[in-house]
Amino acid sequence: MTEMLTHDGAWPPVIGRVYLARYSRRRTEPRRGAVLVAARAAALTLAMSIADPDTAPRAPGYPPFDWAADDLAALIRRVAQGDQAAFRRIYDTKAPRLYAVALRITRQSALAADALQEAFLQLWQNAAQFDAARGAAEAWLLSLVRYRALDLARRSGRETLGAEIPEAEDEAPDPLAALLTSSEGEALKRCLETLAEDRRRLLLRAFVDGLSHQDLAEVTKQPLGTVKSWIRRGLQALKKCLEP
Amino acid sequence: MSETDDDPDLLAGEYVLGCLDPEAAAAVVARAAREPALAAAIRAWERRLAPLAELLPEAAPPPELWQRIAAALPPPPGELALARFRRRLRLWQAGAAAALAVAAALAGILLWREPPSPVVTTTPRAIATLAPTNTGNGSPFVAVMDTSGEIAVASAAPPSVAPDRSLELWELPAGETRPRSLGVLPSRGAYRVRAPAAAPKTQLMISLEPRGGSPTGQPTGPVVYAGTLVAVE
Repeated sequence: MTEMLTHDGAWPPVIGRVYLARYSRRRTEPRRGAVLVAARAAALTLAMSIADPDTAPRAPGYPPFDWAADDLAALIRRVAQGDQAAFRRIYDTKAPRLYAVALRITRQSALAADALQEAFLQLWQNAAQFDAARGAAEAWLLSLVRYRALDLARRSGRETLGAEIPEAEDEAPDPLAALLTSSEGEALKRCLETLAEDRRRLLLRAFVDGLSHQDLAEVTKQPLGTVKSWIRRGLQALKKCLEP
Repeated sequence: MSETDDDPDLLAGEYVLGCLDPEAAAAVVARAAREPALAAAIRAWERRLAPLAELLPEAAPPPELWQRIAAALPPPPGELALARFRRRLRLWQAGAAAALAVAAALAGILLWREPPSPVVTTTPRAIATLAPTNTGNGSPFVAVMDTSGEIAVASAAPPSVAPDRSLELWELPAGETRPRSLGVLPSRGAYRVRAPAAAPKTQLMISLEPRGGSPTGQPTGPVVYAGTLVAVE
């Protein structure tokens, strides 16, 4: 089956400003990666031997709060140095949300787990390419998972007989209330609420459920062209509202 | 709409939203590799829309997933050399085993100049290719009926089926109008079933049914593979 449905179903991942050549990288990288890891480890050891606070005996004092332990950008920088504990920390704190995202898009727990695994391997291999100066570590990590999930969902959608587009979940009285946990989310909520109800739902179903133009036309029973132009106008209005 | 079709910012928004078809998405990625403005627009949309992930309640991933990820990480440098040595060793071992197998086979041919006549317990009586219909996909199923009236059905690349669905096999002898169920296909491997009514010209069909098979005794879902038995005697 997979031979018949080869790369045409791919959802190519764009990660930050780096475009991953996923297939070639996988095959050629390990040896060079190992050399890099070795070099980094050697550099680290050298740096630590020059100034190693742990070697000096220290009386119990007043431990500083390690703010970086929960700062995703700082953790990603540590992963870029080959720090497995930082990698584990990212997994522990972020996997439940990312798994929920992947599960909603792929609708199958096995595919969602695959998407998460591939995304975390990309994180391990490409952490150095994350540009902290541009910020948005959360968006970067989320995008790794979403593109993998979209890719797997589109491929399996072609292969799986009888898979159906799920109905929209019942809407809570304020479906966007969950966005109020961050200032970015708050702004996004405010702007989404300026859109007409049906266009807002279209954008949400595309992003959250991973529905394609075609899927959206099917569930809304609207012509494909209408759906496309609604989405474009919705995006335009959203951008204008977020960045007037 | 046409004047906005090429707007890199909207294209980036659609790409990040996830609603492009695979070909269009690939085109966006290829274009973004050449156009920094498009790449920047993609990053900007990723940032703008990222809070939407908060809309979903968290869900615990399968407990073994961390183990899988940790096991797939490239090994630390020290272990790598050892692993490479082991791999090379395995390669040698495999090579030696293959050479031995070839030698044994050649010896067998020398000792056994006269091949024993093949022992056939059943003779195929009819065969059918069950080709995918327009609602099916992938490679066909093949059915072989032997003289005892047993039918074996198999596919080189069985389709994947949604977890809440099953594939069910039906026979429709020539001249009849209501198909009879021959049972639900296993999710993998060949399926064998006694079909006393089947004969050359009997149609065989596979339909997509609720998990466990049609509740009504007649096909309720689309026929996804179909073919007709042809005599081979």
